[in-house]
Amino acid sequence: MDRTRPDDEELISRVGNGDAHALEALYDRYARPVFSLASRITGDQQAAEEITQEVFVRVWQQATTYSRERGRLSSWLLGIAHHLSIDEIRRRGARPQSSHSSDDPSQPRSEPRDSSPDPGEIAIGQERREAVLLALSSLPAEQRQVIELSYFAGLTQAEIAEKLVLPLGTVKTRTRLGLQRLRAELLARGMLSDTL
Amino acid sequence: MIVDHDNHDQVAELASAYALGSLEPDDVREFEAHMRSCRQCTKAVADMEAVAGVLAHSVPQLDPPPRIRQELIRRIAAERAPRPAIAPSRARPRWLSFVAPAAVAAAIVLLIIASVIAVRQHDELERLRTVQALIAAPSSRVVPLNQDGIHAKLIVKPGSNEAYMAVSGLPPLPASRDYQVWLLSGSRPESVGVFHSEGTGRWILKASRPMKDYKWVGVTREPRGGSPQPTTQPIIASNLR
Repeated sequence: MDRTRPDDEELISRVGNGDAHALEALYDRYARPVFSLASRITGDQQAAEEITQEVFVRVWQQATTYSRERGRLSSWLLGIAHHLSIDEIRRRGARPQSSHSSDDPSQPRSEPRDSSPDPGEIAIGQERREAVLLALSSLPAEQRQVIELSYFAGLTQAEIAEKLVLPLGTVKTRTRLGLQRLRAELLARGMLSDTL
Repeated sequence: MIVDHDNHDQVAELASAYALGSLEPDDVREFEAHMRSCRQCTKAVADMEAVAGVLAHSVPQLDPPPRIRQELIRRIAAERAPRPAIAPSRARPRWLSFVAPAAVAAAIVLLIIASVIAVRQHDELERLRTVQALIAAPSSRVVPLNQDGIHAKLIVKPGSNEAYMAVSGLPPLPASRDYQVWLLSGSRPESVGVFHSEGTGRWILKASRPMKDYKWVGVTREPRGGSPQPTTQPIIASNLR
């Protein structure tokens, strides 16, 4: 990764001071994962576009409220994208995504290349994705299942318990164990200390 | 919500579910309220949100259409467009409803004057005339306000509804925030001006009553356009009596 470019902290601080170019730089860095996540969760290209734009408008408006204590910028930003996407599918009462996170040919098609994200960004994205999938695959299937139903399908723990016909306590335990295990895997791979 | 912090599994369960978005809505509200005063749970959530954030990278990566970026730039540019430095209509919304008819007429005249001042905001001469009148009055006095590197002087003339505030050391504001000046007579602060300044500000404050009626002045950061009542702690403030 290019270490000479401004880091996230610097960019968000400049956004907080009303620097639109810094916002564009953050957009070029994160629009791809944001749009991809919104597409995956909503299964709807138009909704994903609206969510992507809304995420960066919120970054613009709320940059001064971002605090490093609350976690890295990428987590904050993808967290906003996740919330908006889940809100969208809950509002529609539709949860089009199945509980697996692997490649799915029914996913919205990618449009012709946008000129903004640089090729390095894309290569990093691919490597990152493979590494995350590898870490996920090391989880026991039942833990991975509850995590994916939570994160991608937007189900609450009570809904997951009902769907899988499991006691609520079991769902809670599996969620905790799964996320703790995933965290350990990611830490071991050095994927939680670097800028993801 | 009762969180047993010695029960690490319970903290981790709440943090995990919260980070994944699978906590029940009522529990979300309670947990967020709890986190406002609990660093341990805030930290646990930050850790788990970092993990959840990584999940976002596991999805097939798609290119966003260029139009999203173009539309974003357009929206941001619209937000950054220059705005009036003085917002007199926001500063005095309520009082027309309960003052005598003669005062209403006077108020309308005042509003027209205020609007003229707003339109001619860049006319330094106008500002100087107002300031000069305030300074020249024998009864005028200067109230210093100093806090955290921000220095201000407020010139008040007891019988005047206008005052002048010169500020230096103002922290930069994002486009989504303005500085708002408040005067307090009773229990509810009255907005006397919304400004977007950086570094230094030279503001003419317009109040509904003569300055002698007020006992306190303060400046807060508010969402763009100002708030009906202060929503943040003052960055500078002083008693006026």
